[in-house]
Amino acid sequence: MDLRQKVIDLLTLSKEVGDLPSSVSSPAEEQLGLSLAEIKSFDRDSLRALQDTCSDPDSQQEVFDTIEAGFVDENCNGGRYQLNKFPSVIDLNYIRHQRQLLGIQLGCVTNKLYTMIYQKQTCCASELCKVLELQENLDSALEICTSGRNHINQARSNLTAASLGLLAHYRRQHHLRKITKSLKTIQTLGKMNERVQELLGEQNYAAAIQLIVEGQHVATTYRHFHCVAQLSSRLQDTMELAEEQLDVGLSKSCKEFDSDQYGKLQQAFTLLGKQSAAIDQLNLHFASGLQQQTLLLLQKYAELSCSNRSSANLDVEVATDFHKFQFHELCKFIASKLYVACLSELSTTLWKITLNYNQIHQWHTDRPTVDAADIMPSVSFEQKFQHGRTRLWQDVQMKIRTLLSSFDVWHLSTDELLDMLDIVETLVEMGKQFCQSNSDVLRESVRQQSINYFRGFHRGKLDELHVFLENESWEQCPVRSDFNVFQLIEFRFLNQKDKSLTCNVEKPSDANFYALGSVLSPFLSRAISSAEDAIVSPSEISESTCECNDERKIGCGSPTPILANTTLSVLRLFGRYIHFMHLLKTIAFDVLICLNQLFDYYLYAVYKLFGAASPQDATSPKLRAVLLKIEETLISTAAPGSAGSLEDAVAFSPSLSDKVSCPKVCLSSQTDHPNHFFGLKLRLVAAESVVFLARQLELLRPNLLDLIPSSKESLLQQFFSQITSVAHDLRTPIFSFVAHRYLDSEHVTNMMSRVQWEVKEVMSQHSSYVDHILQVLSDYDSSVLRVCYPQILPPEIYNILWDQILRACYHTLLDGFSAVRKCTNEGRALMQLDFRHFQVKVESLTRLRPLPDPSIVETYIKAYYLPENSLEKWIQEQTEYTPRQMMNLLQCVSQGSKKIRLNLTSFMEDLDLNRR
Amino acid sequence: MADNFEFLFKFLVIGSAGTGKSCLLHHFIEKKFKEDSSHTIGVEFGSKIVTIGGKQVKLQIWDTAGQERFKSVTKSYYRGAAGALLVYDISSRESYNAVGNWLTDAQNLANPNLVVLLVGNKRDLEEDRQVSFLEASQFAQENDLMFLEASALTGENVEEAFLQCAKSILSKVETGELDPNRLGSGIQHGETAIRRFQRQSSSTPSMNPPSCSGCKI
Repeated sequence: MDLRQKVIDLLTLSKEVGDLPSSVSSPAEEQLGLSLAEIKSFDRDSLRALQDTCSDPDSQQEVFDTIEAGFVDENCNGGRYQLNKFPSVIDLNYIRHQRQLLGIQLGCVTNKLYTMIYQKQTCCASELCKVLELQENLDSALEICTSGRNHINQARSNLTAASLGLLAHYRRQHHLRKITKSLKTIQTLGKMNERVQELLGEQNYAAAIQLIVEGQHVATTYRHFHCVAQLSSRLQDTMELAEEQLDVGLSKSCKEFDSDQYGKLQQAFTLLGKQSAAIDQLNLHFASGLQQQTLLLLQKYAELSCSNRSSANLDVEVATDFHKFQFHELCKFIASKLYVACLSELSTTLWKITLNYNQIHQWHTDRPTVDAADIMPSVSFEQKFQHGRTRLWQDVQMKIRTLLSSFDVWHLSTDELLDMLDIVETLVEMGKQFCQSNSDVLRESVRQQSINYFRGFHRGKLDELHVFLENESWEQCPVRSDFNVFQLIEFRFLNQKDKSLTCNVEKPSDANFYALGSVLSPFLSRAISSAEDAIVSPSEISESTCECNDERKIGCGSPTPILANTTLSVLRLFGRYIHFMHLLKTIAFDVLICLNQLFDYYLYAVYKLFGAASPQDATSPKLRAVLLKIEETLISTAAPGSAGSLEDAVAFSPSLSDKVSCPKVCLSSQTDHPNHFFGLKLRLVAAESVVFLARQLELLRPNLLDLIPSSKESLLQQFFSQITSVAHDLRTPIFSFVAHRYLDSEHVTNMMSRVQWEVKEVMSQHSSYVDHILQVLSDYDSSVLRVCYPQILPPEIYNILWDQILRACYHTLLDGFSAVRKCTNEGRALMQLDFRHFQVKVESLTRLRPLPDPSIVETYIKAYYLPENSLEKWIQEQTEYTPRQMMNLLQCVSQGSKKIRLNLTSFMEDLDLNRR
Repeated sequence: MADNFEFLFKFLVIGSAGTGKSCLLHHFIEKKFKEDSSHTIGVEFGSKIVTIGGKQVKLQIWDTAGQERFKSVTKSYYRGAAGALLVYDISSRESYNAVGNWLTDAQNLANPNLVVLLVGNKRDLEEDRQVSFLEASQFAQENDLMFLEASALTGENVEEAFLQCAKSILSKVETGELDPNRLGSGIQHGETAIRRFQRQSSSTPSMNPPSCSGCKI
């Protein structure tokens, strides 16, 4: 290339050189007058020279060496360079020389060049050939390339269009598929509602909720579809519906727990994430369910009782609409006969509710182990359940209390009351199991009702006793000699209790009201157990009846208990009261007080009938105090006659409702008549029946002690010590009347007044009145013995009768002696004789030992002998004699001296004043 | 507590031992059979208010022991009774044979206007029957007694027995055959009647209130 370039440069240089002379030389030739032909001739010359020189290499080299560097320089324009080299004064020779030189040089160079070119020509030609060949190859390659390209392009264009179309199709297909799928889903979504309803219908709540939740998910996914918005709102509705259904299911669970069903519900709530809310809801449902069910039940019973009532009264209008009433209002409509049934059913209903609650709770306590994630909320669940339990039980108590308190318990029979108590006791026990509740509300209300009932019961029994007493004839009721209260049916429970004590105590704690599979209401158990009692009893009947049948024993030897029919009634009442104490342990002491009142009333009645008319001193101060207390607390003082019967007395004066009027009986025809021995037999029965009662109470004392709180024991002991002594004290006033009436003291004193006491000699024969008295006493003894024939008069009575009549005799004698105003010492001796004789004879007449103290008579008689000063002292000491007796004694003493009499009288009067 | 009734009738239940007198009374009052009953000792008592012809009547019923040894006790209750249920056991000839004696006792001891109703109890024991209905019915007619057969076990005719007896007394009172104010009639005016009497007596002061209940003997 270098070479070539040089060649090219040379060529162009030569051209320029060639051109230059033509363009520049013309003016110069003109100037110089130099013609071209001349130059050319120069060139020829030079060429020749050149050729010469060139033919010789040495000279050639010399030429080359002379070539100035300026011409060799590539960038040099040779012409300009030469021109520049010319000196300012142009010397033609010089130019010619130069021209010649230059021409030689040129010729040399050209020669050299041509030589060189010639040398290289073949090489150049062959190379050119190669170049041409190469060019050809390139051309063909280009062609192949082009055609290949064309082919490729063609192929490419063909291939891409097809696949793009394919792809586009595919894409569309894909889209369409997606849409179809979506549409299908939406369709399912649309159908879902129906399915959900179906599932709900099948109570497959969880699945339904699951479906809805899924549906909602899907709906959110397909939110961009218009129709889905609608569907989703429908779904929402369904969801709400489902939740309502769930709620309904929940409330159903409250009524009838079904583990599967509840499990489904809970599953559904879990899906909804509303377990906690569900528990709250559940509690609410329980509360409302309780309200509703109890209300329905009460309505039912109210209607029942009303229909009963209206059919009885033929009053159609009574049938009111009970649906409007509240629970507590309905309670008032329940008829007493249906009351226990109603209570029982109410309790059963409440029990079922609590049972359901318990089962649900149980279900929850069993469950959390399954899903561990719920451990945290399960604690709060537990709390909610515990709280719910307490609340629920509170509700239960309130319901029962409302029913209990709205009823006048005394309309119930005892059995019904016991049923009621049993039910409530069961409930209390149940409450303990259900929520460790003490059920104070229940206890208190049942205690209140027990008191109410018992008050009514007691009131009724007092009235009954009143009726018994008014109708009592005080005939002796024949019983076996070893008769005691425990033989009465009413006391049989005491034996049974001992027998069944062990099993009875355990029984309540044993019963688990919430045990699995407890389907039978615990309130039905009472009927069963009472049936058992009925089975147990017949064996004992024979025992208690034999006491009635065995008549042979009566009246042979051993003293038969003397009691009247009313006594038996009182004893039976004792039995029932003690039974009540057993059953109503909370009010046992109140019952005991009432029991005491029965005795008191009986005692009082007997006293009023038989003892009131006896002399004052026959009634002991203690008895008097007791009677006074009874009168204050127990006896209604409604003026007799103003109200006809007992019922009237009560009705007219409600404030006295706790009191009973004293039985009004006219036994005077018997008690006052000597032919009936002043009703001695009746008196005997009455007095002994009181003693018998006291004795029976004494027998019952251990039983009673068991039943009352230990804090009250001392009161009981006091009560017992009182009744026994009082009962014995009562005999005296009852029999003293007989004694005092039997002895006709007036007749005796008359006889005594007729005796001549101013005798002058000591008599050896007693006066006739003594014989009279002794005769009377002898008759008295035989009569007394006859009273109880064929039985033997109890020795205590015999003694009292004798004691009393002797006292009566003493008094009569004292009266007789004190009536004597004039008397001699011998007369006084006669008195002593008479009295001594009387005493000796009496000792043989009676078995009474010791005889009552005769000192009251003896001292009076002997006081006559006292000197004046010691008489004063004696008068001071004596309190037993009446002033009249004293005065008469003084009269006797002071017969001779008026002075003594005056002294003593004034002394007496002073004393009398002082005593007052 | 205050009972509202116009009359109080005193009733007696008499008859031989074991004829079911107490059971009849128990069923009348409690409306159920007394399962575990034993011989009555002495006299027992029960009362019930019944409605007869629109009037509230309180029946005060004395249930006497049938055993001979209690005669002395029971006979004192005959006095002042307005009505008596004379009970025998249709399955016991013996108890029927004693009816005559019981009737005599009742007529001797009680007031002459005593209304007696003969009751053949234990009608449920039909297969053990020893006394025919006809025979007892004839006896009742001859002695001017009312008669029916009852069963304290089933409760059949129990209430009717008491009601019929009470009805008969009430009609006698209303026709004037019986005078409630007479002593020992076994009939008393109740509170309501007394109130009425008191209202009347305020207008006619001469009229005396009914007999004081105090003395029944």
